Amino acid sequence: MVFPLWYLVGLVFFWALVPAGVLVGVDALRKKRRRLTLRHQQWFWAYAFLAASLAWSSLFLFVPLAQAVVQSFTNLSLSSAAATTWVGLRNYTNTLKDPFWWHALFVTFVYVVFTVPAGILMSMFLAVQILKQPKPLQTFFKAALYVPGVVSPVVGAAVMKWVFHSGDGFANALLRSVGLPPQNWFADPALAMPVLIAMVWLSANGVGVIVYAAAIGNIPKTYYEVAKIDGASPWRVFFSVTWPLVKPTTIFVTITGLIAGFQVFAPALLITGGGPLKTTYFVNYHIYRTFYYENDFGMASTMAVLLMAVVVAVSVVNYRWLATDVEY
Amino acid sequence: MTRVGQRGTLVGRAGAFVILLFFTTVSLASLYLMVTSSLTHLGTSFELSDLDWYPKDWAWDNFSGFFALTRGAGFIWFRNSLIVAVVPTVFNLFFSAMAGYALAKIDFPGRLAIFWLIIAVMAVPAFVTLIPLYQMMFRFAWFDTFFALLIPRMAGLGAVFLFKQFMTTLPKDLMEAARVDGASEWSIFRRIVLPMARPVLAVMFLLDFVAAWNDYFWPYLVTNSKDLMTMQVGLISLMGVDQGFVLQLDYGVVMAGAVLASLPVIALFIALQRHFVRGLTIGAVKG
Repeated sequence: MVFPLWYLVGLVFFWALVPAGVLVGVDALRKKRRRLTLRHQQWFWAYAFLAASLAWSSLFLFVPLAQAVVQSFTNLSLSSAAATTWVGLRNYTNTLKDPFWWHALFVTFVYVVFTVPAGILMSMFLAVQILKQPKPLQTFFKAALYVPGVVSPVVGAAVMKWVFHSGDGFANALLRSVGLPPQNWFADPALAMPVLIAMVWLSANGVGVIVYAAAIGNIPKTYYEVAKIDGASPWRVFFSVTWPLVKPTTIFVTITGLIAGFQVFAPALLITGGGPLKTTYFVNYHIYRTFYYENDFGMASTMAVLLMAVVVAVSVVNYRWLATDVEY
Repeated sequence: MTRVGQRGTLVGRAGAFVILLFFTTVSLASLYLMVTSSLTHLGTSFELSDLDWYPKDWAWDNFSGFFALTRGAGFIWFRNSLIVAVVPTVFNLFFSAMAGYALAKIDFPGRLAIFWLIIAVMAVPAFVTLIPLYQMMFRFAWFDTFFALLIPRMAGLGAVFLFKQFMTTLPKDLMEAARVDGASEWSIFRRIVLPMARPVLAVMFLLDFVAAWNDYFWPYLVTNSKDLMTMQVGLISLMGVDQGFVLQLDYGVVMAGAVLASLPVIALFIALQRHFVRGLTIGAVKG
């Protein structure tokens, strides 16, 4: 139990000494001077400061990442008695032939399409509204929109399960009190996903609002005054002044939103169990079931690697699309 | 949307106020509902009339009911969550501040490569590394021990980005002056940079504490025994997973547990709120 800690100690020393040593050695050879200059000492300091971060990420991020890629080409599985061997691209072709994979990907895409752009527009809209308020109110609204976001997904799920209980839940009690028939909510294939999406719409993205409020607040007022003198219409001002000037923020919010959106998992695990009729069967949930219930680590790793490819591809495409006219 | 610069007409401002009031109400409603119902005797089935706008019967016994339902384990869950959220966070802040300082203020080859590495790993989905990490916990014999909950969180690249962004904004003169006086990089970091980084330390403590406190899947995956359960895993054990139906539970009691699981993060947010808005925007406003 204690022994693996020595890996970390070793990695810390490795990152603190080896890269800086090599760099200084190469530099000294090239300049043909044997003395350790002040500059070289600084290189050692820099890598010493970075050593812990690099050591931990080596052991708990880079090694597992490489291992995931490697075992996606094997049949590693705890549930079969067969010895682990290389299977080439078999996991990949099996995944692409797996109807559940495509279904899960479709469900995840639907969730992302309906939540991410709407969330961004909402944050921007609410940020503009916040900036119209006096200072103390601005602080209050930012805090009030952010607070629900610090509550854990488990607590959120507990509240949702109660509110949308198909029998005596809060939502049904509300419906009954106005004379409408109660609904099955998360037990109804036609309602489960729309309710999840509606909850995202209604709970504002606090980080997005705060970030946009800062970005829009930073735009010099003179730009708007000039636009006004030129007689630009409100939409024109928005698309010619505000939108281009908050581009870096939009990129940040979009990319982080997409990365998080494609990894949606908590509602499936904690509320719906991927159902009803697999209508909330997200990619991560499919991976989780393959890995945790079927113990097929090879297939699960393959799907995770494919998900990573999808996330990276979508992020890059969006970055290219958004960053066409950004100057840093 | 256009009158950003001058805050708009009175009507526009009032309209904006109403819109904001609506969204803050909706977003706080779930918290409000959670708190009210945790203080109401609800039982396993209830009518809307059982619930009022305020905690009708101030049912504090829901909280004792929560500890009774968990047979006293609730205290252990809470303690475990505190340990898991505080200990690794303190280490992570220290190591990440050091890394951020090196990337922001020391000129060395490889600096740009490491910075881009930090950006790139943000796109790696947690599930890719989760499966090998799960296997690693067995290989290391860390499965079902505190090692699995604490060690992997103690450092990493996630928090470095914000520290780097913040420390880039610190004036270089002080550090240069100290360097000329012969101060080592370590004492510059310790005496000059760390004290100036207090706001970003506060924000990162909040973000990292909240992330660790709220994390449910890793503790759920790598622990089995009852005395290693965190608050989140405990709540999951009450609610059940992988099922679309709801067990018949006393919602008042479950909501009391949910309140206990939310109290520390909300309290911390209110305490550190002052630093917060500034800290969050460090990384996001300028590309």
